[in-house]
Amino acid sequence: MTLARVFRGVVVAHAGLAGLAYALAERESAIAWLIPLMAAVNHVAHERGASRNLPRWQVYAAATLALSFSIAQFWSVGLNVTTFCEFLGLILLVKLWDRRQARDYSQLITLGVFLQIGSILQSQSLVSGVLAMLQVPLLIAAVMLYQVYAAAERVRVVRTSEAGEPPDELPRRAQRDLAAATLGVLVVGAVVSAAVFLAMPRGVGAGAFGPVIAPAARAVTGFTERVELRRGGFISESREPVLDLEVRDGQGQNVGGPGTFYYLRGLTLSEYQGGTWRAAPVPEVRTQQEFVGAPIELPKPPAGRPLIQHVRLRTAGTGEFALFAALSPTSLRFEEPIRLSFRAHDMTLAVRGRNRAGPLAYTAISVEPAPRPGQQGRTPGVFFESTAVRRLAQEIVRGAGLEPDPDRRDVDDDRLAAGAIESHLRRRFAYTLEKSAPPPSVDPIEWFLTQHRRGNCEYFASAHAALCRSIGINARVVAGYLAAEFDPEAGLYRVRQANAHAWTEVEAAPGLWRTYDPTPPSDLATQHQPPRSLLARIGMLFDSIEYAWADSVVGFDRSRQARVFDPTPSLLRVRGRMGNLVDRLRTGTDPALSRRVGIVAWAMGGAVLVAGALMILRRAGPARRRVRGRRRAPRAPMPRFYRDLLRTLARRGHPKPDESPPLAHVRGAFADHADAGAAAERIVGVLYRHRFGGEPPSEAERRRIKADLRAVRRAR
Amino acid sequence: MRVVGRRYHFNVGGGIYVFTTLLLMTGAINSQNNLLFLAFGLALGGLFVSGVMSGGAMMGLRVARLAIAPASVGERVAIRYRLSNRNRFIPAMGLTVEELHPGERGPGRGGRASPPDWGRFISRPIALCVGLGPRRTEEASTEVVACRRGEVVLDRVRVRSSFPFGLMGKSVIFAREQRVLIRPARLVLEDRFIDSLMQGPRGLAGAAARARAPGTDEFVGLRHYVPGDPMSHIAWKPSARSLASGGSLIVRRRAAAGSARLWVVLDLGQAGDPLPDGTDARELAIALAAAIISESGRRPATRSAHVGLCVPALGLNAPPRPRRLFAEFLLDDLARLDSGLIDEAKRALLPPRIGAGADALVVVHVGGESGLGRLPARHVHATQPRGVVAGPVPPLALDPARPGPPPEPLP
Repeated sequence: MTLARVFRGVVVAHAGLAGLAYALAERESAIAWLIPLMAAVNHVAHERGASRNLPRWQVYAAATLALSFSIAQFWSVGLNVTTFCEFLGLILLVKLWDRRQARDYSQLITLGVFLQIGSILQSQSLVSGVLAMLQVPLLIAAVMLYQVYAAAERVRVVRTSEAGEPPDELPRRAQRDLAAATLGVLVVGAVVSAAVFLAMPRGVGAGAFGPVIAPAARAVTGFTERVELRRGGFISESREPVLDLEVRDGQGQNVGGPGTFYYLRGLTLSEYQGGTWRAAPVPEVRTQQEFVGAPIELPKPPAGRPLIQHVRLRTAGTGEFALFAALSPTSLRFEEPIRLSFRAHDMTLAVRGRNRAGPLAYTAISVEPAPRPGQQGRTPGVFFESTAVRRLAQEIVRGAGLEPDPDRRDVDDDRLAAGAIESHLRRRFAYTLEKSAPPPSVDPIEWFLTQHRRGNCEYFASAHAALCRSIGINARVVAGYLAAEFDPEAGLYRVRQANAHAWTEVEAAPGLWRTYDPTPPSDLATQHQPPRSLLARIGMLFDSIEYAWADSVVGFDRSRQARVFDPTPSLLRVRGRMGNLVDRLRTGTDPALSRRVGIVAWAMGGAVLVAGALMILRRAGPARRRVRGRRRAPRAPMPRFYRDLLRTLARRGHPKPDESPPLAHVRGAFADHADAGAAAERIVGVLYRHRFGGEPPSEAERRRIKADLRAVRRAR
Repeated sequence: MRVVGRRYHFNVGGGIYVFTTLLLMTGAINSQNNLLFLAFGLALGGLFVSGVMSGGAMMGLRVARLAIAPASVGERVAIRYRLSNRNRFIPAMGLTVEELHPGERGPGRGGRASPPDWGRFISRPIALCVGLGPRRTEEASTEVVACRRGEVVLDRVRVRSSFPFGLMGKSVIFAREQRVLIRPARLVLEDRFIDSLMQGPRGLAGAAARARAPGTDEFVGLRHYVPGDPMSHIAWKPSARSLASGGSLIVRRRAAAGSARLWVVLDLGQAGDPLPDGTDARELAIALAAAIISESGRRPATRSAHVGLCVPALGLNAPPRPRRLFAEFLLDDLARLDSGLIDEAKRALLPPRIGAGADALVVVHVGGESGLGRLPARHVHATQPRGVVAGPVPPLALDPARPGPPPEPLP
């Protein structure tokens, strides 16, 4: 195998993989997807010699176009990772078709590295991480091969054609040495990398330079800060995880489980206008200082049992975004500096700024709000401007044996009225994921309640809030997530984009809100429970791995670092953990753990079996070859160029007799053609060196052989 | 070869690497992105590994320049190097081996005077060793074009590599003086001219016939074995001594008595004007003398003839000896001729017994008249090569910087 061929292959694979990593990180970029595709096409074209390099003027023109496009992008969108990486990707695409010298390859390698860094900045998912890990050995091999290739090119330039070509072969031994060196570098690099990863202080210097190149804003959560009922289309069914939630009670027991749902509140929407629900513009309490480690105590309502939630948002930016927590949060704890805002009137939280993008972990303690002594009454002046809605609400409430007029109805009956409306919606209306758009002149809630009678959770929540308001009960829509998919292995809920949900809160007393969900429960369960197919199970396994990745690598923060460098002797800690593990296994109290141990045991047994089989095969291989060798001497395959020569000679009436050696054969065939004879003898010379000297023909020799074969064919 | 120096060279690639590493560090700290921390660690690991690998491999490197065969002007000179990597674990890859000019910077001279620059005589020798595994020895070879007649002195070799990551180029300089002879350009003589030496009452053909009379071989001396020497000529005791000290087999040199004798007298007269095509007449005369010595064995009858060479202007007088054994030495003498040492006084003096016992005497003149012109001999004039040289005269000197067409781009 030639050095140039190996080198070209490795560099293009590196560039293509970098492009693929970036494409997977930035899925909406067409340029990103073009890079791996074009790298494959370019490699095939290059190796087949169909098309090598573009003319210089075309390269300059393409580079100028790429630059102009990128400047226009910077101008319109601003400088962020996407625009910068798209610029790099365009230049990489141009450079793929302009590979003349070693320098061009070094530029390709560098562009690939920067593109890979861009993909890391853009996404820290497991796929990105795996691709980055695959990229590392390729990068090391490419850089090492570049040194050899550049040295060969230097020799080639210094030497003249009169002085002959330098060797272009990459001998098998050199390939082995290179592979060993790559492995060695990889191991040492991984050790140093792990040491740096563990030891670099977290949180120090974060955001010191500001968002120099901020990752582009991406809507990946499925959660929106307003509900627009007029928008058609479909609800997101994306299975992409948004957050992981672990729920414990005050005693530290995990209270999550299959069939137990938690409503994670993000934002309350109490203003309705023209088919859109918005958050009311109320003053919010902003934290000026940054909190790290210590809990942030929030105004505490009279409460029942606490619910401790460990939340890890998989993707979060540096800007403003909502935080999710069940019930009413009373305390929050972060492991990184953060600026927070708190809206006391609806007990919702939002981040107003942080120093880094990436996953965000926090612990929230929530309580079920309970009425204060003497807290009763009703917020006056609540109404909903729709006669049709009011009429329907009155009908429903009257049907439940309650008084629809708020002035004559007892305040304690408000809860029953809201429940009757919830029950009515659940029974009489159909759930669908399709978001149908109402006619422009009709109010969407009226349209849902009177005409269409089917919709998604947004319609149900909106209708419930509107019906309640129309009979004087204060109600609001809540946007957030429904935590329904419990992973028993990890003991946590996995919340995906498809789990985005809307429900309502009804004011039972001034400042005391109760949760209602008018969406039919059976449909809700169907929508939010994980699918049971084999593919879905594989997907869940992948999610578990991704969670482990996000938890231990991407989410490695100051607290985890402190645990790693905990002065408690490691042996003691390990012994303690092992003791716990053995106890849990012996008592059988943790079936998930037993199952996990079983899987690991099976995997280890399988690995041992496979390793044994491989070892036996490896030992048996040479023995079998030895036995075969006794029966028949191994014959090297005849090289193609010699087969071509034999075919040509046979056509000329000189088939090779078995007893005649190749050189004698061609000499006899071309006794009267000096030039063709010399050409044929050269070919046979290469054959001898190949067959008996073990030297495969070099690139230069192959070219020469082609010319000689032409000379032999032309001889008359 | 002994190591006389080690050097580090800054590379642009190294600068880019360090810049990228710093960028990664800044990005990781600023964004607290854990994958960037990992990438930064990897870059640091690369720095560490690069230092260890490149240093380790280059420290354990040894080079020996193997024997170089003489060549004629216009031909290729093969230079081979034997490289050994004494390191147990670390391979050295992408090694370039190049000869240093005497004037080129670098250690290794120890106060000694610089040898003459080889740059006029040969193109730049540079060889590539793709990979040299741990505890392995490989050969790297290069071919240079012999551009000008003379003696080339190669004294220092630099082995350079930027493996593994090109952060710094490392080079080790080895020193050992070695001489390479560039013989005059090969000329092909006209058959008629060869025949004229054979014919006549005192021609080589007649003398050769007389020499074929039965006689005994005469012991002349010892020399190294060359392929084709009969086994019976091997001197086993000297061979054993030679092999013990790393040499090769030794054979006895024998000379047949009573062979035909050819004298070639080179009259390096005053350097006249160059020939119309720009050829230096003195170089052409030397090349003609070399061609007569080597081509005189073209006829089977004269292969065992004795050949002698006389250059009066330089005081060189080598009486005829067996052509088969001595022609190479005479060509080496011609390769070493230095026109700058011509002694005009000696030029006029004919050495005693010149041409004595010669069956054929050829005098090659550069130009101008001298006492040699009166010798009863076949006179050849460099200014009039027609009739002696078959076809056009090849270039007698080439430009070392561009002895041929430019190299092809990389495939």
